[in-house]
Amino acid sequence: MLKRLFPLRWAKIAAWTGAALAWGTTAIAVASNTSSTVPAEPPALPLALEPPTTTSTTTTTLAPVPELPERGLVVVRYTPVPPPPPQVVTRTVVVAGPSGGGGGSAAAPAAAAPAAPAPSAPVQSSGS
Amino acid sequence: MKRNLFRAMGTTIDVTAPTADALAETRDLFETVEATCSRFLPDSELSHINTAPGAEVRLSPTMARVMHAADTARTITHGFVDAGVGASVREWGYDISFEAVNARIDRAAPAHTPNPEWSVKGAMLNRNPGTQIDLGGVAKGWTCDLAVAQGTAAIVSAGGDVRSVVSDARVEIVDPWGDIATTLLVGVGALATSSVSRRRWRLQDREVNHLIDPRTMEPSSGPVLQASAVTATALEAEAAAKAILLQGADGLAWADRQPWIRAALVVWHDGSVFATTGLGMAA
Repeated sequence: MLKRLFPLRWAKIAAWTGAALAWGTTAIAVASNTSSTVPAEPPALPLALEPPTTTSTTTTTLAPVPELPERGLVVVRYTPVPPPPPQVVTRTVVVAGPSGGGGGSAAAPAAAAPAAPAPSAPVQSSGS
Repeated sequence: MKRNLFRAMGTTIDVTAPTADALAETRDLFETVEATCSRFLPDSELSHINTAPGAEVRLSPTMARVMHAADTARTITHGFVDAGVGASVREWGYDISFEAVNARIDRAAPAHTPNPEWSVKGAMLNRNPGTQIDLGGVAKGWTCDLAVAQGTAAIVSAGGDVRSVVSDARVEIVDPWGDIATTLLVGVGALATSSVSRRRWRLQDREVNHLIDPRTMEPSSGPVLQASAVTATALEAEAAAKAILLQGADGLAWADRQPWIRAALVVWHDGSVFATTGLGMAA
């Protein structure tokens, strides 16, 4: 009896062990494959017809006040007012061909002589 | 004292002199220098210099003295005031009357003008082919100094360049809006004002003016509308005012470091007025 059953018993043990190993290997392999799967790439975007627009802003900032001199800055007046409109100065100038033109020393028009100021009136300086 | 106003060098000359003869001599002096140094007069010596071929030109005694004054202005301002920018001034549109310039809106901005190169030794001027001379401001300041030096004027103002030998002489600085920014006690000394608010026009979509920055060879575009400087001579004051204006926000600090500039004042683009210490403001 023992002799008859013994081989059968060991055969069953071997069979079940083999089945268990096969199942376990398969399960581990499936689990491994699942965890190492690279996330699916997103679907390819349609080709852009135009390149993406880059927004760039250029700002010109004027210095709010002059750079501070070493010996100090005197604020004579701080009452911001709108800048003046362009002032067109009209005068008659003799142009000498392509080399003509000039800076401050220009031919004076035949203008009426300015009225003489009072001898005590202050001289003025307003730039040229 | 006698006082008289007349037109010369494209501006109003205001002279206070001891006698009527002195007034007349001062007027003759300005007219003589203008006939020599104007680039608007086709027969002036400067017009001939600017069209003369070759690198070297021999100068008349008067022109040589003015060119040496221009050389001094260039040196003391570290190159900010350069009489060699004449070609650029002309190409940016200041070659005809302001009325015509202002109408020339569609004219293209000029290509970059080569940096000027010139030198003067004795009576010989040497310059590169593209360099043209503009003596506008220098000639005015130099003539004011000469009028005082030769004793024919006690106070003389040429378009804002003032030279005085009167100890209590006061000068009103008028801002671009026509208001008096301040009144200065100039005394024995000089004061000059340079402005970009008056002589300016439009070139296509850009507003330009007559003050060329030698660093860029383009019109000044800084935050200063007007600059004034107090110095010993009108030539120095004229040069200082231009250099301060061209340096924009750095102008007053630069002026403060120059021992030859007694004081400086700027009118900012928003109408504010700033100055260095030492400005002798009259009450």
